[in-house]
Parts: sequence; structure tokens; C-alpha cells
Amino acid sequence: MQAILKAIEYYLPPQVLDNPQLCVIAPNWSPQKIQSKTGIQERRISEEEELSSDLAVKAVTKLFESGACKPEDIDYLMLCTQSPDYFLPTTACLLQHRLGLRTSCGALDFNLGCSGFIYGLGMAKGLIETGQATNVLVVTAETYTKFITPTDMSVRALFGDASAATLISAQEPLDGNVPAIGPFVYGTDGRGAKNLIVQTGGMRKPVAGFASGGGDEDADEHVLTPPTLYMNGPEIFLFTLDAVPDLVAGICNRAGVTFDDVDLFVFHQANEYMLRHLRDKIEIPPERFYVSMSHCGNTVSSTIPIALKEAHKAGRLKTGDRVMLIGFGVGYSWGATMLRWAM
Amino acid sequence: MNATQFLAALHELFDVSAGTIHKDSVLQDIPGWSSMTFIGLIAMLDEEFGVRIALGTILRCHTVEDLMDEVAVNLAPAKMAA
Repeated sequence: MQAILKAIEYYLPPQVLDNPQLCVIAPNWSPQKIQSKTGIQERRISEEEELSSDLAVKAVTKLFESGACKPEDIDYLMLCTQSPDYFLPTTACLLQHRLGLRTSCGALDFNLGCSGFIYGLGMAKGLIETGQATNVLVVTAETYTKFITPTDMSVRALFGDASAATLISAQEPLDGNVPAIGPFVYGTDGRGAKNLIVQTGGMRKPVAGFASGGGDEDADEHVLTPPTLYMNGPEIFLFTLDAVPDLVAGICNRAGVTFDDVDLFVFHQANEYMLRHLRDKIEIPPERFYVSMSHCGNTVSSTIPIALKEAHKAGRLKTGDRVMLIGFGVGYSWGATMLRWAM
Repeated sequence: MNATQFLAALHELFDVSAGTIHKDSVLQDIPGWSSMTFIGLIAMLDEEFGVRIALGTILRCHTVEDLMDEVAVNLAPAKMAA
């Protein structure tokens, strides 16, 4: 049996933050300037009580309602998130119950950001092709906006909340040579950890009031500010200039393809300005380089499935097309794979 | 790389009229210079000169000439010959 990507649905929370609203907060910006620097017109923001699990339930419910699969078909659920509901239990366990999945279903969370969808596909393929599972839900869900200081335009203009649900299923191989998903190239460089980080709220810098004993006497050791997202955009950009061209070359080499063999290139939708620069640097033909982020911003691990869904809806993907997926970001972590489009 | 080429690229990046930026111009005094322009500057240096200059290095440069010196140091030998 081989793993194939059978269906994708995604969900965006209803609350909109558009460029004119951002300019009220930052009067030295203009809506046109934000659009030209980021390629984003609006982002969706989760409500205070709306968590990653809630977004995930909405995305997976859309998948069930589409007829792609039923809750009882799912025998493995993995949730990629960096904004889980709790330290413990695993948010995927909560989702198993809320989604009505069977109790014989495996479930786990994994903590990755912009590269997470690629890693999810890699693990789903491994589970299916070693006979451990037949229908794997790869769910990506983030509420980064809860980590964002309202006045920090460097991140507020970029990130939006979202969840995407992708069904990976076992199927008899269609032809022997080309895998439906794969091969994969992965990479990691923890030296970049400091450049995209939420420093507080974990064990290294617990928030105030979170302490063994919980007394006031050790409050000095605890951070009073809530967990806050910090991004050094220029350093992240320099990292992508170093890592992504090699990543693209690496996946071409491992898959034995040239750019002519690739029908569509879908990169993590980080920032359209950066994506265009990367595209031109790597010399990818613009007509085969897909960008879809103006309606939702950078949704971290959901950007690739959202872009795939939009490309499919727009008629840019047809059955049998070969798609290159490139993920890169927080960690630093990166990964790439090839899809043979099966929808 | 020569100074004319470098200055032309800076004029285009900051969208200022010819003659606004000189070798001895202080970077922080360039109209439009801000943290928002770092991404554009990094992209320009990569595209025009094939070099990647760390943010900390850019911030340590005082004048345009300081930045030019950093680019020259980072230029690959092949690029120097070209």
C-alpha cells in the first residue's frame, strides 16, 4: 500500500484584521505599503476563548462534511501546533473525543511551525506504508495571534490564525515508479532558535504565579509579561536565502526531477515579498509558483495545505500533477517533499 | 562592484532622486531608512551582488561606504572578477 493525499479542508476564524485597521494602530504605515511589503490584505484572528483545538474541530468537521471520510474511518490523528490548549494532556487526545473518533485511534501532537506540514506528511507516509494505519488525519492548527503584542507590527502584519485538516490514506500504488507522496528532505539548525521565539510561559521562563508552591516569595524569578512572540525578520530572511535554494536542489536531486518535471511549486507562505525574491533567485518560472496568502496571512503550519486547497479550487492542480512542497521557518526547521496530485 | 553601481542600487531601493545618497552618507539619515527596509536591503544585496550580510553587520555600518566595504569583503572571488 502507498500513502496518498486524498482531501484537504481548512478553517479560518471569522474575526478579520485588515490593513486599514492595522494602520490605525501604526499611523506611519499605509494599507498599500503593508500590501506591497507582505502580500497580505487581511488576517483572521481567533477570539479569546477560541483555541487551536476549536479551529481544528472546525477544519476536520468540514472534511467529514465534504464526504472525504467518516470519523470511524480515522485510525491515526496527528496535530501540529505550537499553541496547544494545555501543556498536558495532548490536544490531539481532546480532539479524538470531540471529533467522535474511535478509541482504537492513535493520536499525538507535534511541535513544529512552518515546516510542520512536511513533517506531518512524512510521518503519515511512514505509518501507512509500514502498515500501522490506513487513514491518517494530519491537522495543523495555530493561534499565534494570542502571542502577539498589539503594537508589534513586524509580526502583527504577518500572522493569522487557521487550521487545516488533510486526509492521508492507504491505496494500492497507481504505478510503480512515482510515489504519491515523497521522497523527503529534512533539515534543522537550532542556532536560529532565538530569531523566532516565544520566550516565556515554558519551564525556562515561567509566567508569574506559575511556580512550585506558587508563593509570592519567588515571584522575582518569574516573568510578568505574558508569552510574547518575537521575530527577527531580517535574520529569518537571511536563513531562508541560505537554506531554501539548497533545499529545492536537494529535493530535485532526491526525486530525480528537474524544474520542467514540476507542475506547481508551493512554498510555505511566509511573506509574498520574500517568496518572490526566493522564486527569482532560484529561477522558478513565475507561472508555476503558487502564492495564496492575501486572504489569511502567514498561518504557520497551515499555509501549505491552504495554498494547495486554493490552487485546487482555482483549477491550478489536476490529477497526476507533480507538486513540490517546501517548508521552512521556526527552529530553524525545514523540509521538502513531492506530491503526485490525487484529487 | 563599483561605487556607482552600489549607489544606483541604493537609490532604486529607497526610491530617491539621483544624487541623494553618497558614499559618505550616514545610513540612518537616508530618507526611508528604518527596520522595515532591512528586508529590502538584504534582498537587494543578495540579488545585485550575491552576498548575504548579517543584520548585526548592517547595524554596525555607519556610512554607505562602511556598507560597501562589508559587501566587498563578502564578495566571492568569481564575482569580483565579473
